[in-house]
Amino acid sequence: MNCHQAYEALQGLIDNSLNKKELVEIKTHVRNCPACKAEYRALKMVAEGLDRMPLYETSPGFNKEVFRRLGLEYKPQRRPAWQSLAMAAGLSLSVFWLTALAAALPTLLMGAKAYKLTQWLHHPELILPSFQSAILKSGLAAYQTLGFAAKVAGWLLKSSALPTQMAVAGLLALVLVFITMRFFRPQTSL
Amino acid sequence: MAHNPDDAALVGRCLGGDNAAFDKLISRYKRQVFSVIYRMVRNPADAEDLAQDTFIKAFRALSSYDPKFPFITWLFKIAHNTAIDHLRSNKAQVLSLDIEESPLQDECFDQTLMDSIDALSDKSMIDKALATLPPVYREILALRHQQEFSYSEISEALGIPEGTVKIRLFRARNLMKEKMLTLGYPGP
Repeated sequence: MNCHQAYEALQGLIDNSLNKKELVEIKTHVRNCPACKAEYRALKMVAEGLDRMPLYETSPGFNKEVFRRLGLEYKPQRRPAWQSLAMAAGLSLSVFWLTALAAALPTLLMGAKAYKLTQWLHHPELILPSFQSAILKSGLAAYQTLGFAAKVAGWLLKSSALPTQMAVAGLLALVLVFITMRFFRPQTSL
Repeated sequence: MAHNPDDAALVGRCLGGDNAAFDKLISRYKRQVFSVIYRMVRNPADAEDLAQDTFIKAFRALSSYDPKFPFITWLFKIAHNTAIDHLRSNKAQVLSLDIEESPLQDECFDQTLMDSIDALSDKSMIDKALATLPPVYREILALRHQQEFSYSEISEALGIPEGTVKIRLFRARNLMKEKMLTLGYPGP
């Protein structure tokens, strides 16, 4: 294969449309030809940039407007109940884990002493109004549950080190956030 | 591109008078149609109007849809014609295919140019470079890279031979490289 043939074949390589024989030939050529290697890298860079082009969101009344222009009555679709439930559950779990992580942050950063210093948080009703006290208690409950999850993670990892356990718990939180975000597929508006 | 086998059933329901099925088809494909048209016309309001026109024309022509082919390529064919008609009526620059799609010339590789492309990873720069391309190049790049259409699907949607698809893609990508450099990305 010469450079002229390679120049055309590179497009096929980018598009993954070459057969085995062509693939071997172009790869061999690119490996031994600095110019074609540079061209391949350039094309690959362009293609990868283009692959990241976002899908744009239409205006909220798009469907309704199409129906109006067609002279048809529009009845909006409803989201299936299971999807709404899954989204609500995902969001709740994400918020729960993130709250727990935030509550655990002082201990993570400053060690066990910081935790002891904040023992008063176990009895917030003594110094705070009932509403704020309830919020703090919820945070503590989340923190304790996280501690339990972290212990389980530590046991699974055969490690009792707090940083390891918290890292695993943090990872769990990130996974939950990621799964939830997949439900809310991000769109780009113009 | 993911072809949804459920599309033909939805079309069948539309033809039977079930408008909710058409609502589903719109919801399924409006972002794709709008995004490709926007790439071509570069004006959000026009793109939205043209995307709606596409669905209106599709609804009126549903009886001519052949379920043997993917619905999305049929829909994009309508979208393509709608956008091209709009560009022509606005006397916008539509690529002269006679000149741009002549057989590939033997071109020398410019090492300096190629190496400098390595620095290009900025998404906004990709957008800027893309905006300077002729509409048909923007369209084919969007179909290939954004919609992940195969050569044959692009061929079907645009009503051009596969060979022309490859040549147009080749030209479009090379032009993208050049535009990126002219937008100020430094060489080595």
